Amino acid sequence: MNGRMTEVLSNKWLILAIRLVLGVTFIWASIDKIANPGGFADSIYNYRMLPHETINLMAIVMPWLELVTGILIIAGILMRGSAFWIGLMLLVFIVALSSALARGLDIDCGCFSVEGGHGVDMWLLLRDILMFLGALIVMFFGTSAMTLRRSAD
Amino acid sequence: MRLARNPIVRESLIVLAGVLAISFIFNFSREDGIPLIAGAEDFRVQTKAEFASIEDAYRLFEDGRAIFIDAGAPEVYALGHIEGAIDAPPGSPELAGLTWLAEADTYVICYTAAKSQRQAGVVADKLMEMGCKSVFVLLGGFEAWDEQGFPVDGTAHKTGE
Repeated sequence: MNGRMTEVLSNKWLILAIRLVLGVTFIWASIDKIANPGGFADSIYNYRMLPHETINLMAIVMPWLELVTGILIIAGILMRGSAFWIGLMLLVFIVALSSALARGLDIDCGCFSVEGGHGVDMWLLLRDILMFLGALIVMFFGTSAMTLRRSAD
Repeated sequence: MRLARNPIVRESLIVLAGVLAISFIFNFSREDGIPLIAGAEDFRVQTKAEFASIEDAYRLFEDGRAIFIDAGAPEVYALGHIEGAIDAPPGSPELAGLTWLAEADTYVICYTAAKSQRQAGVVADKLMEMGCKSVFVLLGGFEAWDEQGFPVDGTAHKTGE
């Protein structure tokens, strides 16, 4: 990657903007799922991709992973590790959404609300792809600039 | 060992360990926590309402003696729903506004487009709580209705094509 591109992607304001967007999105997305783990398990079940045995584990852990990584990425603490998990979750969402779209499943996406959320469509997929690219930028170009960690230092 | 020294890997493992601890403690200490491992029966509809077959539901539809409630999200409802159905997902203001159904002399049939009719069961229970009588969950939901070629609104639904 050339120097100019690296310079743009390492821009502290760009990184801060991405961190805020990802952080707020993931914190917001986690709240209803944490409040209603059974409903979120149903949303995962509707995608018909995972064996029954693994669905509850995912429904228990994933909302907290969203909340914790959302807070950490905004605060800039364990930022690159948080960006890794956010990127991985987005990758899972992208695969699940693509699969649901390809199979013509008309289901609630389960993205932000477990009760009467958003249906799956191409816009949702595009949004997740953009956020995935953002997570990669934070993971590989994120620095301690404008983080609580730097303030502590 | 070299991998563990990578800051991204190290930070990811710390985050994961913290999240696993918090999520398990929170889930197992709350009253409505869910078991770690689910069985197939956990995803079947659980409701106090009775079930209506597609044939019975269609007969009531033709006679104009039933109101159909779609428990799916508005976006999914817009893609396709039983003709004349009211969209009222769980927790929605639309569902809360259906108090008039308690006074109506009609059958109420709840369904969703999902394979699992769990959300329909949730809506059916809520309607019964609100005082509605003769509440049913449609066996097979929208998919089964659509496959029979019964009347639907919305053009983008994939099932039954």
